[in-house]
Amino acid sequence: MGGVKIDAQCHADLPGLLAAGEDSGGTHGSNRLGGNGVAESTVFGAIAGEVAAREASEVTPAQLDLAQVAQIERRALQPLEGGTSGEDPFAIRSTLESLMWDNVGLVRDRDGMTHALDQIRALHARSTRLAVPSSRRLNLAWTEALDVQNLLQVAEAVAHSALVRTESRGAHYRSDFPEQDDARWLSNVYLRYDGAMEPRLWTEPVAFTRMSPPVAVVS
Amino acid sequence: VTPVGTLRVRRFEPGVHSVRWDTFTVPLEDRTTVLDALFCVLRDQDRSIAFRCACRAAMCGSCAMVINGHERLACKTSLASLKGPIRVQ
Repeated sequence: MGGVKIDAQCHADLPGLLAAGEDSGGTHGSNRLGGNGVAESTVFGAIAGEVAAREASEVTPAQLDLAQVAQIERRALQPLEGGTSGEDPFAIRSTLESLMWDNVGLVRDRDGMTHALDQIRALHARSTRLAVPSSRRLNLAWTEALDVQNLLQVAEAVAHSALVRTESRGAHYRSDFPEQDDARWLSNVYLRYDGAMEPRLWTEPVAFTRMSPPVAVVS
Repeated sequence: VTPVGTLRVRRFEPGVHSVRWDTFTVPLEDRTTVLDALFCVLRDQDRSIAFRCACRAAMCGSCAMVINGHERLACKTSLASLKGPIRVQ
């Protein structure tokens, strides 16, 4: 199941950033059984809290890239300046929800996910010119606008990685690749947004340090 | 045709307007909650309406409101369980 890649101390790749629980990936392998997220949050939340408390006093804060801060600020404020002609964040979210449910939901295939990725990119283009009321005071339409930009990025990451994984495993079921393929896919899929429009995507074999997967029974 | 109900919302924005009650017509679909109705208003009728919520699943308590005179969680209170016009404050 997806999430931020962390080490055993909950460090993400970005120095000073820690992630735990449902924000992080990998603990449950290819499927997370109902209720197990609570155990993960409890165990890794405690680890992340201890590590954060210890390192906060030791780590030198990273230098801020002020140009990047200004860019993020512009992006966040843009919907407030969208006037009356901009895109509606509620409409984009509703379209995205249907798109993901229909094409990247419980049963996926290549055609559906390819279609979804095309549509997500079109929605992303629309999301650069959102318009909401201009008040900065508990403005729910503005928070919807900020949410929808994040949702589009997560949706793209989900669809992109599911399209690449040409097998079925755990919670990921593809009607065009219904079998688990251990020969090719004892691997994790990673995506990284380096600033380009398209994320960089790669796979890494799973390191089996304590236990190995059972040999598949051929029927 | 979806049945509709009346939602009255007590509103206040310091420095902008004093306390007032606004009236909205909201769809009464099966299992619609007060929180759903508020989102309907936000989406379709009035983008300036503001209320707090977080989990939308009766776990966090953020959407506690006085609904028809009683303290309730908006996400847990169905419109069907309320009689007459719904008053939210």
